[in-house]
Amino acid sequence: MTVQRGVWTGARVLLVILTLTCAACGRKAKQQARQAEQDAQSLSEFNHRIQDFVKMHQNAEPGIPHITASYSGEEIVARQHTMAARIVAQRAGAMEGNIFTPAIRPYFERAINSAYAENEPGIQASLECITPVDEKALTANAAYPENVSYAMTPPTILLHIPKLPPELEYRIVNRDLLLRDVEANLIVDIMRNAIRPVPGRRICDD
Amino acid sequence: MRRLVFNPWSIAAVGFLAMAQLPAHKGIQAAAAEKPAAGITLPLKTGSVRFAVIGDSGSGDAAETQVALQMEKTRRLSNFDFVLMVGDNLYGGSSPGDYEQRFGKPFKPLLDRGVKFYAALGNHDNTNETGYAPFNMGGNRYYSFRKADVQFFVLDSNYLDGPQIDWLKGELEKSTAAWKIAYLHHPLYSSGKRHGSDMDLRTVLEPILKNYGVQVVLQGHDHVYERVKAQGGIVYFVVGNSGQLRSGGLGMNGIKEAGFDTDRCFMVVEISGDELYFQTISRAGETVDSGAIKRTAGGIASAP
Repeated sequence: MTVQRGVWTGARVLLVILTLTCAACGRKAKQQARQAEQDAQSLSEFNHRIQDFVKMHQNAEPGIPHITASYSGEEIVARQHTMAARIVAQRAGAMEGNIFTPAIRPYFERAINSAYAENEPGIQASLECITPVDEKALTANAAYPENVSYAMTPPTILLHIPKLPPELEYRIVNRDLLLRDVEANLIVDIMRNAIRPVPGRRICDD
Repeated sequence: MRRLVFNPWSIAAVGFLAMAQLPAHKGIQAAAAEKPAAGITLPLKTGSVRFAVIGDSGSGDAAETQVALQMEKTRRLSNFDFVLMVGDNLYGGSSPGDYEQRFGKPFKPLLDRGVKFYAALGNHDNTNETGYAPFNMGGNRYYSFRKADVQFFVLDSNYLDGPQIDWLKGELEKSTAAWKIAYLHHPLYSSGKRHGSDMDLRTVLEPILKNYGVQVVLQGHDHVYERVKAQGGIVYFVVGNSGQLRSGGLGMNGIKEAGFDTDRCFMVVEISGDELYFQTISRAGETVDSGAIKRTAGGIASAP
């Protein structure tokens, strides 16, 4: 009798545990589904904003064709400056966060975190050498800072964040993730403090 | 997969054998190119592919010009007809004068002789340099070209993203060249104290290079010269002191086979059949490293 009661009690406890576990699983699955939906929305929103920028970039191109074989540095630099001036004029009201919007930022944070989870020591080592830049110089529509190298963006990060069309690229300056117009050498947007602090960071950008 | 055997002790033997074979080829190529010239240890075999390698060259100072002049002297002896640039080709690059001051002017003696340059981008290179005709990049950040049985894969290590990785895999997969040589700016392996090996780049890129049978990788960024002990069947070189120099910049991390960090230098390479010969020459004209790498069907025998 006592044994039977014990079995029943055990079964009841097991049932409760199973019910709670299933509920937790269900909640987790729901959360994951919600997260996936949010991510899809963020990515779609980001790509939409990127496409809008690319249209603007293409609008700036007429009359100044791509240079694939010029013997003149003057011609190359002049094209860059013309492109930059035209894009800046089209985006006169551009503000920081126009592309990396508050809604998109968490998506990038998660993506960058997953890159760190894959190879944090490698990423940190790749980001050790910097030329520190005054944060105030980094604004939407400003030229990429003069005399600052185009430091490598760690491949593992690039493989986790959304792909960009050839007109644009990501660059890391200080701890910020920059969106840069490649031909116009222009900062398009900035996500500040997107990158983790790098222990042992030093000025060795040569 | 074809792998490498690297044996620096066989340098003299290989050179001797090559010289011994020369009479059989006489009349096929200009006699001047058939004889190993004074100061040149390469065998200068008939029909071989010959090129020079420079890195971090675009300083625009007297040292760069002196390296370029030494290269022209070497070209007259060895008849190399193209130059690989492993990045930092123009420090600056934002003003029109940089192109002339940091490249056109110093390398005029070589450009005037029709020597072609093929550039990779370094972290100091503005991406728009891809449109500079003398760099032969055709507007591309990464590209590939072939000379006889040697295919070169020129990478943009500043920005190794998904599309570039997919492109590289595709190009390597379809390559039928016996020799596959990749070059890029940031080193996967380096004993440089300033930068050293880039671990994230290595994590992503090394498996691809190994899987597709790349035999040699040329790199820059650290302002020194280094020949790295073969790593997984691939011989890595750092040539980052053709304009810039970090004197005493080589550290001790156990991967260095040979190095030079007291002056500027460049490499001359000759590939003939299954052999790759290299000679590294300082701006004063001194040979600071030389040797031969043999491509075989088996695994790699590292240097003793």
